[in-house]
Amino acid sequence: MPAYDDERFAPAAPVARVSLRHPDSGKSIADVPMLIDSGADATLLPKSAVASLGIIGTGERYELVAFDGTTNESEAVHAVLVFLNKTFRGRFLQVESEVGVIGRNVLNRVRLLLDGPALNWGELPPTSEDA
Amino acid sequence: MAGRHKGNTKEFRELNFAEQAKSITAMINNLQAAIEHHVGHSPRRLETIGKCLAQVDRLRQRLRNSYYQQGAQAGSGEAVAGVEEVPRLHVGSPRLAEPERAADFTMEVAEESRDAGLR
Repeated sequence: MPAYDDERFAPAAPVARVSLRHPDSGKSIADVPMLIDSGADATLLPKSAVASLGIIGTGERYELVAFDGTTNESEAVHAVLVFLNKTFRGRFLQVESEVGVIGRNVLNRVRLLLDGPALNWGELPPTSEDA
Repeated sequence: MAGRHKGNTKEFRELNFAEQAKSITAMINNLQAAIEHHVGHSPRRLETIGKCLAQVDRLRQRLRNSYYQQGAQAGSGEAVAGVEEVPRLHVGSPRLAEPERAADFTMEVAEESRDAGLR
């Protein structure tokens, strides 16, 4: 199971290394770090990763509110995220950070175990209800 | 520090404080010019821009972490002079200001044949 990231986060946090793809060209990059954040409404990709794929913003802007009430605007992009052997194709926002954020629009489609004491995380096997 | 300074007569460590400050400014200006030249000659401009910006971001983060740790190790809780205290707190959990737009972020999900996700 992947270990929590204790280099960028204190306390350590669950970070997935995902692949991202350009939705049209298929160009991809691997090992993009993304914080597993069940408090996030949407999924945010690192701007540098988006730029490296040559993905252009859609022009749609969304206002985001942080825990302290401060707001930021982010332009949406269309992309494909590969996470836990699934592809998630749709609209993402962008963040000025080397670590992106996987929000509930993705997390609610997978089954995860966050093993805090062991400082690792992993995917739970599917249940009969998933079939 | 590699390279010679002050008309190629001194090592960086031999410069006085003001000369070191000038030298650092010159190196930063040189770095900017080098990045701009590199981007200008890149066959994949956007990718190169992204990589260079990420390198500069990582340099800045390393410096901030280093000086923050030095402040913490000083024991008194005082920040190192002139350095903003930057705790390693990641401000995550962004919420949409307009929750009714959350449906815009509904994902089309498919199984991926390659084992690309879990690392």
